[in-house]
Amino acid sequence: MGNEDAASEDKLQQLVELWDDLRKQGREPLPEEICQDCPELLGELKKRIAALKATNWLEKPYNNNNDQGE
Amino acid sequence: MDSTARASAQLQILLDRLQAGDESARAELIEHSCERLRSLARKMMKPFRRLYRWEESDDVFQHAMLRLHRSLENVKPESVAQFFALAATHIRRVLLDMARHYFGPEGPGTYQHLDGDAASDEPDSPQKWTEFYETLDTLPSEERAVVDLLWFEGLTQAEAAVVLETSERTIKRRWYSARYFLHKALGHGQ
Repeated sequence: MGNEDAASEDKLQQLVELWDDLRKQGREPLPEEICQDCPELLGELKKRIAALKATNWLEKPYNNNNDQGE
Repeated sequence: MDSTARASAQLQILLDRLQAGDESARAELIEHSCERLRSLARKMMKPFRRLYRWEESDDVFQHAMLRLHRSLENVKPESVAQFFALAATHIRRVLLDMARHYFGPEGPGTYQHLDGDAASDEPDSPQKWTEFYETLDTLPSEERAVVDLLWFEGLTQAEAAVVLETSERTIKRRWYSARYFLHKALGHGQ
């Protein structure tokens, strides 16, 4: 990974972290809101946010997740 | 020192003995972490509850511990996190073997599942849980260790940071990375 790629990856991780922190505080921002100063990362940020939403069920630990119907 | 750190320290002593060539540490390691491993096996079997018709969680545990004991002849985990990651891998493989046997194309438990929530990746059938477990096995080891601790074992990110001897921020990043990997590998997010 080149320096530029590493910097972009680091920035993306910061944005994902910011999005998730705000979401956990009850304010889910639009990707466009938190990506204003780096529009080139918007597409990838959207993908990562979609992945977090789709895997939100992993936020509940395993034993809580699968207790239904026991 | 809290109980998580204390238990980890005790296991680390056994792992150090194993590293130093003390073969008796293999059995002691399993004995020492028996309850935690049994609980892990029970939890990991829950999505496969249809297997209960044929198998008990104790059978899964026993098979997995035999494999773990054997593998410790050749693999010498350096840390507690590596040891539990290895144990979780063996439990997952035993479950996968059983799931393939019972729910595979020729298996007695094959059935068609109903489609679940299209927006979620959550598996909704034993077949999809099998696929999910197989995908977990392909995660990079650092990410898999975080999934094992946060999701399977229900540790907080702070506790996982203690076990893995890293920062909470690193745990958080590996957690995001693991979820992104799983989402893509399960055929979403193209």
